[in-house]
Amino acid sequence: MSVKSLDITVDSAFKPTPPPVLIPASVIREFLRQQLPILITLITLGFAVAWLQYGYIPGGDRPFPLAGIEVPVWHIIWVGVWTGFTMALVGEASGIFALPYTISILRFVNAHVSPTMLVLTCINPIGALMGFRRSGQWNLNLAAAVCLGGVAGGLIGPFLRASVLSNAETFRFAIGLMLTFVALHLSYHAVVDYMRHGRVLGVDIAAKGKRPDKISIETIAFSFFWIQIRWGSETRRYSNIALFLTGLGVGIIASALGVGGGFLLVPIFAVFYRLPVYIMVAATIPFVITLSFTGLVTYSTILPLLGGTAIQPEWSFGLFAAAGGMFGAWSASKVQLFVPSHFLNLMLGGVTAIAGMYYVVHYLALLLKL
Amino acid sequence: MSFVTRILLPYSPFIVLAAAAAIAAVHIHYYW
Repeated sequence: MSVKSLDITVDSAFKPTPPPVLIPASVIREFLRQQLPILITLITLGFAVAWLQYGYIPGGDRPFPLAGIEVPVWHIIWVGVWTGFTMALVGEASGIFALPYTISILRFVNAHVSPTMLVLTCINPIGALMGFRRSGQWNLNLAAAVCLGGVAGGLIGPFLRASVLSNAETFRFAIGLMLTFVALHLSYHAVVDYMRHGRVLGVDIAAKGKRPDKISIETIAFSFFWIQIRWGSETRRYSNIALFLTGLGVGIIASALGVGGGFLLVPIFAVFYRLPVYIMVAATIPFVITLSFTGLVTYSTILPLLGGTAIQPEWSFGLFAAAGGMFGAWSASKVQLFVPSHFLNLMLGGVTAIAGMYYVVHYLALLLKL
Repeated sequence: MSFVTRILLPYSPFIVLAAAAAIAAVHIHYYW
């Protein structure tokens, strides 16, 4: 029996266009190989810690003993997912959304909430870091000076706690006013830029570069004093000294007040350095991770020397939230290039306004003795 | 441009925020 082959030639003009792919195979591979094992590990750790600490799994029926609240485990993971996603889109850790949500909606109101949120905000930006690296939004030369400044500031900050916190409310009020002003500026520019340039997407910037499927942030020149970078068709030159001082200032303020630094650094990069959100994540995400780890070191070693006492986090709660937070932040890194820049700037304006208004309202309430 | 790149991805921050608000409302209803 012979088999005959039949050659069919198809005119290229009549080739059917492939159906749009919902999620590219490379992203699915990245999730399965990189993110899923971390996700499973963190969730398993959360269950294991709860079981070892309390002998049962807290959730919707039985309260978390330290937190004193009943909340289903899936909801804690979801808190991580949505806060990690929305905040990583603008290059920050999830604290600004996660802390008020946990306090006001989940009613986790005792002193354990701060260290528990620290577990989330230390781990969650690592998901964004891994994701943005694969998307090409990565340049260690740009991150170097600002991160070094952050480390130095994070080490100095705790020693200034006594002097800063002696008048903390006025200090917070000043920062709150500045953030509110910056938020208005960002929102105004988001609208003006949209009216002037229309919808600008990260994928459009990527298309102007060498590889249309990912952004590349190239270092053209790097010395002790200067860094010159290029993305798409734009070239920028920044002073490494100015970047170091920016990181130093943000690091000192953040660690003295005991907050994350992203909500201060990102608006500064957006307003004073005029960096698009798509590009600045290459520096801000490494910065928030560096500052978090410096914060952990200072709070576990330096603060006890200064007479502070360590408060235990609700570990299982923190680990469940961190699992969701890693996944949410990673997802944001995959989605960000498709979100228009004016949406990102509006979101950044909104997030900055929340942080600013919180400090302003808190101060005014104290002043009026409400 | 597909529905995903035209609508779903660009508006994803608002979709996620809306979902968060809805789940928060359900939580308040059952646990407060």
